[in-house]
Amino acid sequence: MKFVKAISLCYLILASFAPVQFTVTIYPSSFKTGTVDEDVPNPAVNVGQLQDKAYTYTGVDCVVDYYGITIDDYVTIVVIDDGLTELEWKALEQNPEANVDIIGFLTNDTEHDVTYITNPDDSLLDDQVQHGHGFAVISVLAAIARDLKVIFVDYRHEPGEDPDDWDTFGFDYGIYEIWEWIDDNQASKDIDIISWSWVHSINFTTPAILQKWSSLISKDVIMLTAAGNFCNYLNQLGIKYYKYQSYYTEWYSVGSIDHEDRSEPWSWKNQKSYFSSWYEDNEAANQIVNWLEPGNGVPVLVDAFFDQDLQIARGEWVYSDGTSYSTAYLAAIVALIITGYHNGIGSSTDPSLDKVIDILQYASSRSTFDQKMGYGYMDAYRAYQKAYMEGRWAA
Amino acid sequence: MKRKLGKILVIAIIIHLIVFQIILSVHGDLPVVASRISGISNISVIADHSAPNDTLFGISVEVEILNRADENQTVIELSDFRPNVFINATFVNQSLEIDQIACAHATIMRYSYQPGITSEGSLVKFYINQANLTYLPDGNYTLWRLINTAYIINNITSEELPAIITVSSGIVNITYIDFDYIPTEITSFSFIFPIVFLSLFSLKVSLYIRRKSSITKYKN
Repeated sequence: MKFVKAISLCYLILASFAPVQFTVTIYPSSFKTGTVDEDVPNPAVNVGQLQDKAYTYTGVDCVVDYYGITIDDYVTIVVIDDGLTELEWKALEQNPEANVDIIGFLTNDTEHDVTYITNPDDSLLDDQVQHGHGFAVISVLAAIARDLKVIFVDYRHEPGEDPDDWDTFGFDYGIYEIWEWIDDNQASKDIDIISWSWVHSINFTTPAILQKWSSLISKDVIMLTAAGNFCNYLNQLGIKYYKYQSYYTEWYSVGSIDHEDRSEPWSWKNQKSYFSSWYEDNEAANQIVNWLEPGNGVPVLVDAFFDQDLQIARGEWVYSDGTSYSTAYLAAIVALIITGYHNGIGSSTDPSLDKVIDILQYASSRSTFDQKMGYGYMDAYRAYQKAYMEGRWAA
Repeated sequence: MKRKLGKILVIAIIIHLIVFQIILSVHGDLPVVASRISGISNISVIADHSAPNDTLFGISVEVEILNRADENQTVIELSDFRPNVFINATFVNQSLEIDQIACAHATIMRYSYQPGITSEGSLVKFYINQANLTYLPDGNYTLWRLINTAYIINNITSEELPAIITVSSGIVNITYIDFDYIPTEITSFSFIFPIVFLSLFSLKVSLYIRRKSSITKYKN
């Protein structure tokens, strides 16, 4: 009888647990609360005064908030992304915590003509579908590079199956006209930086486009791209490699570093974020991750709306992650470097591209190259200080 | 009475053993989250002048995402893939190659799937490196809906069930794979049965104890 009882008891325990084992919550609990997809607390302080750890980690708070450095009128960035609605455009310019100056919106209109609009109320934007990625990426710039002039280049986006969700205008991949326009207008618009946080599955370059990239480099334009989030070598997915611009030597590639222990046990503070991809270990080929910047829990704007109380367009600050934001983060530091150089030299003369790279290397956390971490992350204060002194010496 | 209860207990155990095996076969060995291509329609050539040596095709795809668990599952994806349905092909004419148009924002995405099946649609566009094709070249085309790219972090088992388009002499056959899934009834029964079993067992134990104590009392 004792044996029967023991068997029955064991069986009872097993049986009682049977359904439970399929209903365990498996959301990764080791992600820190408040780091992803959650509201940024007190944005006026954490973003407005750059007191969030995503900023204090690199010292941008010191340069921007403590020393009050805003970007001067002679620095312009081109951001290539999926579109901006009228409200998103206005929110990026009016948001109370931090904002930029969007001076133009370059797109291919419904007649496939290259169109440059400068007013968010332009009727073309009435049909702009809200995607949100471009909005979030530029908000990272806004937080660090205050008042930076932005030219937005609009790619046509067709998510899902429902044509209502598709853009009716915008550039397709591999369109030469984008690069022709940027190259032709580089001097008049004072374009210094290009930031691109997309990946594409097909080869989108032509010899003509490569020639334009070389031309832009010769004009000291720095081109930054996201390393990608595939968490592996060369962004491999199945049998395919996604071709970020990192495949081309003209582009500098930016991965993500953890500024806190945000994703234990996959990555820790001061390490490459678990999702950040990497490239070659051969520096000469330059198909490498060059630097890392915070990208695992960075404040970004989402859900643009019109604030009836303040009578302004604005968005909600939430934490998001991805090398898209690391790229914008470094682009913002480059804008500070160029401004620092201007302040040092006392004019709008830009530093050469080589000089900018030297300053970035000088302020990097690593003196040696690592295949997964590149030269590490930037100390923004050291970078600004070095840029300012380089300007002084060149004056 | 004791013999009767013993029989009930044995029957209960046998029934439970059978049900438990079914539960295991339905849930235990299978991934929690799964995706399948549930429908393919409108395979068409899309007018495109950007690649004169290629033909651009589009396929409308219906997708189902299955969450076998009893509560919402949050799945982290490493990038914002557009589309998140992928295609690969092997052609009879081995000089042909397929090149899908897809992009990804470098942003970590989090999706929540309710228990049961969620449906969505997608448009798959791809080039084949031959100009002026009017229909799909002979070969096998495999389509699957990407899910759980951050599988290490998700700590969640998943599977992607593909659909296969076979084109032979212009005749198209499509093979879909169904989920191995029986919705809700077994899951709820699996909750109820241990309670019934527990009640019966408790009754038996209490009767046994009462009987034993009365025998002891009688002996004393």
